Amino acid sequence: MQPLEFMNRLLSRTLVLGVLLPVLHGCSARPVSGPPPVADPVDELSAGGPITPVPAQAKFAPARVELGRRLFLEPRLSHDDSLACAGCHPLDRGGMDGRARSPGANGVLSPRNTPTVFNAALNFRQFWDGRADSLERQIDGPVNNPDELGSSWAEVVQKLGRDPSYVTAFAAVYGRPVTPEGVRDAIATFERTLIYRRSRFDLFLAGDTAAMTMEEKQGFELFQEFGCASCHQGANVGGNMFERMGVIGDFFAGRGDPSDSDLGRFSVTGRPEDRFVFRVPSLRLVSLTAPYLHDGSIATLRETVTAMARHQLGRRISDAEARLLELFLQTLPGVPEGSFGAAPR
Amino acid sequence: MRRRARNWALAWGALAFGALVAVILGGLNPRIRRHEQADELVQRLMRQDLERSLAVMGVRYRLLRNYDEVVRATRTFEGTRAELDRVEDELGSDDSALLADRAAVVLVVHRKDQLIEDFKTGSAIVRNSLTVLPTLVAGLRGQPPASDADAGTRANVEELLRTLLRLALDQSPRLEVTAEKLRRALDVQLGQLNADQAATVKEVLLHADVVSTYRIRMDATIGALVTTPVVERLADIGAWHERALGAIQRLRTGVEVALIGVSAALAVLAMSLFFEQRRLRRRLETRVAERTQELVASNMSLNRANRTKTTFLANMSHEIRTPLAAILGYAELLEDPRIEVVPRAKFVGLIRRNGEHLLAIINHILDITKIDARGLHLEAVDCAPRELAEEVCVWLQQRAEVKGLRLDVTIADQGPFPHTLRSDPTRLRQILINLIGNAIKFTSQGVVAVSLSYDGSARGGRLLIAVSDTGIGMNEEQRRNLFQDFLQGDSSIGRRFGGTGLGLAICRRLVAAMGGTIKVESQLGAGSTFTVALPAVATAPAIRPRKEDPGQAPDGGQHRLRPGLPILVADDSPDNLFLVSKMLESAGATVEVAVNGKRAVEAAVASARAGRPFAAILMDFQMPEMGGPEAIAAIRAAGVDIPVVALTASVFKEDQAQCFQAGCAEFLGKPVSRDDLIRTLRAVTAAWAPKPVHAEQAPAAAPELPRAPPPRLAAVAEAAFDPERLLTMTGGDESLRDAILALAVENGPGQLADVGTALATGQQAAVQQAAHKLRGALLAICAAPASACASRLEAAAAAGRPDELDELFKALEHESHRLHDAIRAYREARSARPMRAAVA
Repeated sequence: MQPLEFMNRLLSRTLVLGVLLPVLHGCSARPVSGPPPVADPVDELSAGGPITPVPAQAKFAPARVELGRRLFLEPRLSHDDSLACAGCHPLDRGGMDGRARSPGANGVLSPRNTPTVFNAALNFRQFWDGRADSLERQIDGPVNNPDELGSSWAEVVQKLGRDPSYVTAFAAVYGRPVTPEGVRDAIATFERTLIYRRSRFDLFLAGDTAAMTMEEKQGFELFQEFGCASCHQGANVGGNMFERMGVIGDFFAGRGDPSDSDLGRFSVTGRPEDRFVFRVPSLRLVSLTAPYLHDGSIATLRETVTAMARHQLGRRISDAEARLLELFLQTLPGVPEGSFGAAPR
Repeated sequence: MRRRARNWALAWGALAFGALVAVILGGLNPRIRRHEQADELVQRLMRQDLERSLAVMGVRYRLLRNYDEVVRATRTFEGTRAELDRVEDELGSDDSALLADRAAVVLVVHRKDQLIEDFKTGSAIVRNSLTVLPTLVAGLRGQPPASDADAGTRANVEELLRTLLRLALDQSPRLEVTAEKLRRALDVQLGQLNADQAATVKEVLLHADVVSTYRIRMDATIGALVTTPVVERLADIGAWHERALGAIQRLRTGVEVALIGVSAALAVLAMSLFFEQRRLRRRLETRVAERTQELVASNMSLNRANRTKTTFLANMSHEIRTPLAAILGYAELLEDPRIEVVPRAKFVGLIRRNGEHLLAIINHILDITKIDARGLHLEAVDCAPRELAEEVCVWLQQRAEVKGLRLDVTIADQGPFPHTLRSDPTRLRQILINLIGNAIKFTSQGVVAVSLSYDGSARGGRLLIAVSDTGIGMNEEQRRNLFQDFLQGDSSIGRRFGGTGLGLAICRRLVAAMGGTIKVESQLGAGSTFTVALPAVATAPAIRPRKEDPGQAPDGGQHRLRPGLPILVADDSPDNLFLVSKMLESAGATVEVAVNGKRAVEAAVASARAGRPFAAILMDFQMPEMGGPEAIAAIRAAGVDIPVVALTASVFKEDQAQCFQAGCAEFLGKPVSRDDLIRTLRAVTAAWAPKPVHAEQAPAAAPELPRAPPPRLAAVAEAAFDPERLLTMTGGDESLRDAILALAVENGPGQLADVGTALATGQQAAVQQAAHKLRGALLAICAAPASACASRLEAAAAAGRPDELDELFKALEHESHRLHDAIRAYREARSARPMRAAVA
C-alpha cells in the first residue's frame, strides 16, 4: 500500500470523527427569528419635549399584512358571521364607530367607548384599563367577549379552516394551517401598519413653523401651560401611562350613575389606589373620534377639553382657551399610512 | 483473519461509542446554548432594568419630559424577559431553585412595574401642579395688591412656589417644613383676600397640597422602585444558569476528553488495521507470487508434457501412418489384377512387414497403458538371471549381427553371483529386451555389453544389471528426458532410428513397480550405460563369475535351441510338420512328429515313461482323430506335464484363451516364423534340464551361404512365390528354405489332385478341406498367388457356390503350375552354384 493510499484510508476512517466533532462543539447557528429591529427615528429637535412626532413604523411582509387586513374585515370572526373587527373600528372613520358604546354581534352595547385602532400600536397597553399589554392579547378580548364578536378561537379556526383561500394564505405566510396564533399575529401586524403620522404638528415639531397657524400654536402653548402635556405626551400624545380620572375633582360624582366599568384599572389590579385609574388615551386622532372619555359621555371635543381641565387639572378654562386647545388638537392626526381601505375580497 | 475481524469489531464499537457521545453532546449543546443565552439575557435584563430606572429618574429630575422613553425601556425589558422565559421554558428545568428564582423575578418585576406606573401617574400629577402653580402665581402678580395683608399673602405665595419648585428637586426636610409653614400662613390669610384672589390662592394651596402629597409619595415610589431587588433576583437566575452551565460544561469537557481518547484509539486502531492489512497484503502478495510461480512451473511442465504428448502423438501418428500407408498402398496395388504375380508377392511381404511393425508399436502402447492403469501383476518366483540375460541376447543376436555388433553377457567380478533369485522373470526379461534392444538400436559399431552383478550387502540383496553400448550417446537434456513417457532423446531420434519411444518408459515403470531404480550415464557420441538395480533375494547358491560358457555360447544363440532338445511336433499337415521340424532341427533340437492328436499323446506319454520326456510339445489345434485341447487333456491326464505350445491358424482371442485354458504354456499363430518358434520354445524349455545320458549330436551348423540370389533370378521367381520372405520365415536358413521348396515341389501336385478329386466327387466339404490343406502348404512357401486362389476356392466351397468352383480350380491349377515352374527355375538357378544344403 502506498503512503498516499494509506492516508486516504485513514482519512476516510476518521472522517466520521471530523463530522462528529463540530456537532459536539455546538456549531449550529440559530436562525434569526423575526424581523430585524428598526430604530425609532426620534426627531432630534423634539427629543426633550413632552410630545414627539410619530416615528416611521417597521415594515412587514405584504402577504402577512394583507392576511391581517382580510381578517380585520372578516365577519366570520364573530359567532354569527355578522361582525368584523372593522364593525367597531371602521378604518374609513378614524378607526372607531363614532358611538358612545358599540353594539356587539348580539346587539348588547359595550360598557366603554370604543378606542380607535389607529396608532393603537403606539399605546403601551391596550384597552381603557390597560389589561392587554400587546395588540395580540387585545384581540383575545373582543373575539371571546359574548357581547362583542361572541365567538371563540376554536370556532374561528374551524370556520377559517374551511375556507381554502385562508388555508392557502396561512400556509403561505406561516407555513401552517389556520391557528389562533396566526390570526392574532396577522391582525396585530395589520394593526401595526394602521398609523396616522406626518401631521402638521409633527411638521411644526420638526422645525416647520409655518405648518401651524398662530391660534394652533397658541393652543399648543396652552396645552403645555395647563399641564395637559403632563399626561398626554409622547409620540402618541397619551397612551403611555395610567392616570386617575378626576385627579382634582370627582368626575363620577358630577356624572352620576357609577358602574363597574368606571373602576378602571382597579378591575385589573385590585389595588385601592387604582380605582378610577385609566390608561391616558392618545389624542392623536382625538379630533376624529368623538364621542369622548371612557364612557363616551361627552359628545364634543371642546366640552371634553373643558371637562378634563376641570377634573384633571383643577382649572376652569375659558371657551376661547378651549377653542384654541381644540384647534391645536385638530393638527395632531396627520394622514393614515398603508392601504387599509380595500374591500375584502 | 480473526484478528482482522476483531479489529473491525473494535472499530465499529469505537464508532458506536463516538456516535453515542455525539448524541449526548448533541443533547447537551442546546442546553448549553440556552443556559448561555439565558445568562446573557439575565445580564441584558439587569442592564435594561437599570436603564428603566434611569428613565424613571430622568423623568423625576426633568431630564425627560415624556414617558415614551420609560415605556420603550419597559417594553424592551419585557421583550427580553419574555425571551428569557421562553429560553428557560425550553430548558424545561424543574429545578426548584430556578423555579423559585423565576417566581421571585416575576414578583419583583411586577412590583417594579407597578411602582413605575404609580410613579408615572403621580409624577404627571405633580408636574401638572408644578406647571399650574407658576401660572396661578403669575395671575396673582398681575393683580394690584389690595392691602398689606394682600402683599404679605403674595409674598407667601411666591415663597411657597419657590419652595415647592425647589422641593421638586430637593428632598430636604427643611423645605418641607417651610412649605408647610407657608401653606398654613396662606390658609390664615385667605380670609383677608377678595373673592378672586382667595379663589386663586385656594387653587395654589390645592396644587401645593398635591405637590406635597404626591411628591412625597413619588419620592417613596422612586426609592422603592430603585431599591426593588430586580437586579438581585435576576442575578440569582444568572448564578443558577452559570452553575448549570458549569456542570454541563464539565460534563461536556469530560465527554470530549473521552471522545478525544476514543478518536486517538480509533486512529491507533486505524494505524494497526493499516499495518495489519499491509502485512496480510504482503503475505498474500508473496503467496500469490509463489502460487503464480508454481502455476507457471506446473503450467510449463504441463505444457512440456502436453508438447511431449503432442510430439509423441505426432511421432506415433507418423510411426503408425508410415506402415499403414504402406499397407494400404500395397493393398491397393494388389487389387489391380494387371499386377504381375512376382511384385504381388513382394507387395504382400511389404504389407506383412509393415503390419508386424504396426503391431509392435501398438503392443508397446498397450504395454505402457496397462502398466499405467496399474494392471501390472508381479510374480515372485525363482529365476536365473544369467540365463535370462543370455536368452535375451540369443533372441537379439541376429539384430546385433546384422549391424556387426558384438553382444556380450558377463558376470561382474565383484562378489558371488546367485544362480537363482526371487523375481519376476517375465518383467526381468522385458527390461533386458528393452535395454539391450535399445543399445543395439542406437549403436552402429562396437560392443553392447550386458553386465550382471549381485549386491548381497544391500538389504535383501540387489540385482544390478548394466547395459553399456558404444552408440551415439546422449547429451544432458536428452538424458533428462530419457525415461519420460513418449519421449525419445529427441524427437528426431524416432525418425532416424525408429521405435516407439516407449521402451525406456516401460522399463522405468517396470523397474519402479519392482521397487528398483534405473539410471543412465552417457556421453554424447561415446555411448551410454544403463544401470538397473532391483531388489531380489538370492535363492540358490552362488556361482563363481565366469567369463564364458562354451556350451551355451550366446554367439548365434538366438537361432538355436539347446543341442538335442527333444521336441514333439503334432500336426496333420505334412507340410507344416516338415517345415516346423526342419526349423527346429536346424536350431539344434531333436524332433519327433505326430500326425494327429492321438499319436501325439502316445508319443508324449511314452517319452515320459521312458524317463526322457520331451522338453516341449508343439501342437496344432485342428487335427483329425484328436484335436489339440483333447490331446493336451489326455497328456495331462497321464500325469505328463510337458509344456505345450499351441500352433494354430486362428488368431482369435477366444481360440487363444482356449489354448491357455487347455493348459498350453504358449501360443503361436500360423504361419509361424522361425524366430518366434525358437524364441518361444527357448522360453518354455528354459527349465528343462537335459538328461546326462542323452547325447545325440546335433547336425552341424550350415556353413555360410551367399546372402542373396542373383537379382535376375530373384525377379523371375517373384511372381509365383516370395523366396525372400520364405527366407525370413526360416530365420535366414537357406537350406531349410530349399528343403521346404523341394517338399512343396514333391507334394504339391498330389495335394492339387486331392482338390480335383474332391471337386469331381462334388462334395463341397471335401473340396473345402482339400483347398484348405493346399492353401496351408502354399502359404508355407509364401506362394501368395496360388494360396490366394486356394483361399478363394475354399471360401467358395464353404459358401456353397458350386458353379464357381470349376473356374476357381482352373485358376488354382494354373497358379500351381506356374508356381512349380517358378520353384523349379529357382532351384535350378541355385543349384548352379556350389551349395551344401541338406535337402531331404
